Amino acid sequence: MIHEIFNQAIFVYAITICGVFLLLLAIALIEMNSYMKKNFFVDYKYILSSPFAPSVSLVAPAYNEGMTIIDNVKSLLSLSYNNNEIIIVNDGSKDDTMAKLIEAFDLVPVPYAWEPVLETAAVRKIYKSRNRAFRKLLVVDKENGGKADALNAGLNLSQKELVACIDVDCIIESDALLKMVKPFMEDHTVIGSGGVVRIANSCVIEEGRLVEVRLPEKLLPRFQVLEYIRAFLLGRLAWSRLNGLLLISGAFGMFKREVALSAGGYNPNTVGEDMELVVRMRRTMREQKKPYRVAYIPDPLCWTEAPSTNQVLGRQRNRWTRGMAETLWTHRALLFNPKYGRMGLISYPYWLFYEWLSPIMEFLGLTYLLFRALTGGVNWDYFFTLVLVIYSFSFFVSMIALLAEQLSFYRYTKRKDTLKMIFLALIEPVWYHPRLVWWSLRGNFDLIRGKRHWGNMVRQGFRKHMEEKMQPEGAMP
Amino acid sequence: MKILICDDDSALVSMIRFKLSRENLGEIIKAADGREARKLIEQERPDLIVTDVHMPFHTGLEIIAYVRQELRLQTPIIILSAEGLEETVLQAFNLGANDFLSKPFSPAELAIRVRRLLQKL
Amino acid sequence: MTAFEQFLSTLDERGTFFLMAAVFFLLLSMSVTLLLLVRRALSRRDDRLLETLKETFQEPINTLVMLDGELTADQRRAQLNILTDVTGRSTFARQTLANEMVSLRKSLSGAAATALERTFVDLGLDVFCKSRLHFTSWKVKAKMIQDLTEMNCISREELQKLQNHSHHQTLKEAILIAMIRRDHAYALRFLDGYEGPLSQWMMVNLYQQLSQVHFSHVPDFSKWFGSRSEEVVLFCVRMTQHFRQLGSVDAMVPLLHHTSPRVIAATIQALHDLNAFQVADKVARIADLFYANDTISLQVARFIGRLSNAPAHVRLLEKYLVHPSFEVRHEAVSALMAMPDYGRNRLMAEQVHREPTLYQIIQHTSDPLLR
Repeated sequence: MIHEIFNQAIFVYAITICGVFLLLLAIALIEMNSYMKKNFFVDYKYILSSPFAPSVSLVAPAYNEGMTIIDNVKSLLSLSYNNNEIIIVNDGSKDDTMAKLIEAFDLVPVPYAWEPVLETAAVRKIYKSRNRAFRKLLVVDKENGGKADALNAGLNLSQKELVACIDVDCIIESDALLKMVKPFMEDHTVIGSGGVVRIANSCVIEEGRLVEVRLPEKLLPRFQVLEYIRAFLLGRLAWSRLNGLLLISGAFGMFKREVALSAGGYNPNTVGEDMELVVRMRRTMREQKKPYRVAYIPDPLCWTEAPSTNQVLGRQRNRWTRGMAETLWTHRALLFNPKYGRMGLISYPYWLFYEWLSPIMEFLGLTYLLFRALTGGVNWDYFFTLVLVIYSFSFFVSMIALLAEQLSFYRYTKRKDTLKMIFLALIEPVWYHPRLVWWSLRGNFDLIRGKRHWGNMVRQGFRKHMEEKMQPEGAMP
Repeated sequence: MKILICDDDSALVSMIRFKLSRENLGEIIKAADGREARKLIEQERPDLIVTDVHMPFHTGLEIIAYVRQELRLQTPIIILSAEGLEETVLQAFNLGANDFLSKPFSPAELAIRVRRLLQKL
Repeated sequence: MTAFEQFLSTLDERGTFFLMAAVFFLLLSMSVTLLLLVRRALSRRDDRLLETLKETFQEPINTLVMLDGELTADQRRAQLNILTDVTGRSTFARQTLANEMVSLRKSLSGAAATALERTFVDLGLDVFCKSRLHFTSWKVKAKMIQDLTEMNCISREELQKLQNHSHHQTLKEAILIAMIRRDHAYALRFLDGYEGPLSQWMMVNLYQQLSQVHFSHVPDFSKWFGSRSEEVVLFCVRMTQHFRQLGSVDAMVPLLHHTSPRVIAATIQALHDLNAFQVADKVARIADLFYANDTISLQVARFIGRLSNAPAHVRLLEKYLVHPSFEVRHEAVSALMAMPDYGRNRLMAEQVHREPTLYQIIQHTSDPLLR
């Protein structure tokens, strides 16, 4: 009897999850098609030379980035946009980040006046360059307070309409701002727009710019390429069409400054500050009964170094899970609450049941199976067909994602790359996916145990060749 | 005489090069981005520079600052840009540009401006 | 009975369903994979071809455009033939050549632009683009309309006809934008009874097209100041400002009493940029009414700041020194600092005690790097 119920529950869950994914897939493809059509004949240079282009602050927090900071800032300074400023927030780095910035850009302290709308750790000094060619640059030196705190300092200092929040170690494409502001210009109710993040491992990067796109040489980052393409291209695109997007990646997102401020800025007490802010901004707009939209740009505009060892990737995913769970818990009032419209009735439940719960369900299912196998009650034929469905379905979703990428942006041009990606899609369900499930379980476990912060990983989220190299290549935990 | 043209639009660069060579203004060298431009300026020491504002790696404004402040050269610089927003124009001249042309521009006019600046040398 | 058949027979209903679903998805995945590989090969081929084509086109185009007046008819024909030999081979080649020429046209003016347009027609690319106008895909239509407009190859009547037959919103907008370039006086009539939204994006595009028109031909936007649509009024105020239509200042003054605060703020901003300081008193008069509106207060402070120091205006700015909005305070400080009879010293002596942030703002405003 109990077995029957369990069987039934897993069956229903599997069917609905496939159904939901198929639906999202279809919506994503429709949205992709209309986005590509709409922008097929657009000349973004018009924004560049227009007095009507909105003003943008680019806020990039930096913590111990001495290795690459100069190149990264230089590349941010050469982004194609006119009415913008670049705010680099040095979040109390312990290395030579600040010294290097001062030297390379001829920085001097200035008596910059600003209004501390959001509370942050103390700001020590604010710098500008004496070289007029770098007049867009503003550097803030503050006490360490974590990424959210640094972003809030940037939000305070910005005097522009829009704020783009990025990870300073990301490689941003030069037309990224032009593409990101377009949704704000098309529809004045847009409060935020998210960008795609892609994996930069093994790509040729010179002076902070992407020169050639290559597939990562290591297997783990390569899986993440596939994972990111699928998640960004398909998952988020569909949600933006439904106006139910809850997450704008912390690596590259743009917001209306006023709305972000009135929602209270980033929350420094969560490890998932990027998702939490979007949810809170949406919630605030909803509560103020103002119409709003969160847009999404499927062009690959931002490239980031992905963790290439199990250890670092595991910690990252652990943190992502905790961030998501914290956000979902903080905003639990949204669940099935008609007051919050689509967000309460569709997006939130989706995140809860299919993003947060699915690894747990998967784990439970497998444990149950193991238990049944030990007690000799498994219908192996039935089990085999079930696994086959899940496998073929996930392969199908990956292939659609690859096809969509091929038809739209076509960034991996070598034939070998395509073949490699197809192979990855074939082995991903058995080789990579189980790890994700495990890390996410660990994340939930750690959260319950009370590990609330970035822990020993303060601002090490993405990237860092050096640190990764110093860590031993760990086996799966 | 050596003239450096930097712009990421290769068809346009090719056309300008055609025009300036035709007018016997000198040898034309070209750069597709700010980094290449800096390298060529350092190695080739052109007698005149025509540059776009928005380019990969370094903006045209950074190029002016590089020539005037770092290399301390008085090489004439003409800015050729799609955007003629007042602020950019002012900033270019403040940094030491000698001339500013907004796109769309007339290649014949550019040739005359180049000639005039070269004659002053 | 084979092992597979035996396996099938042991499956219950649900098992069979699973098996069928799995086979279905596997087959689907395989076709997607095949499609992916084919498309990849095609794009790769196109990319290579594109590079070669661009290179082949460059020299003849340069010759045709730059030596327009110097070539003999035969020489010209020879150059054209080099191009048509290549474009005769495929639509892809024709489209590539058209794209190259259109993109060049955007950067050129004067005789070179005219020569380019003439070459475009001589190569029959206008006919080619027009034939593609009947394409079912609206994105191709929109692109062709844009290209033909850029190359001066499409008349207002043709655009009009297309406008009547198109239903897609984005395509309609593209046609409207093209029409501005062709016959702006006619095209702008759409503003007459217009009530729909006019996004900032449309504004950018309309402005871009209008700025290609000689400034003396740009229509007088003040005639739409009375429009019922807030967005139309906003658009017209902005255009008046950017095309510096000084003659419209008087017509603009009544907009200071518009029902929409956004219009009022934009109007003050425009009056500022047009140096219409003769209406300063009228602007100052509405200042108290909208003290609570940050945007309007900011614009008033900016506007008044540009004037000489009439006592009434100075009093107004001093009021703004304690405004709840930081930006307004900032603007008021800048304004008072710039006044010859006021300046930093008086601010420091008389005002700084009124509001704790003023000292910082004064410091900020005094720094040459922050100006």
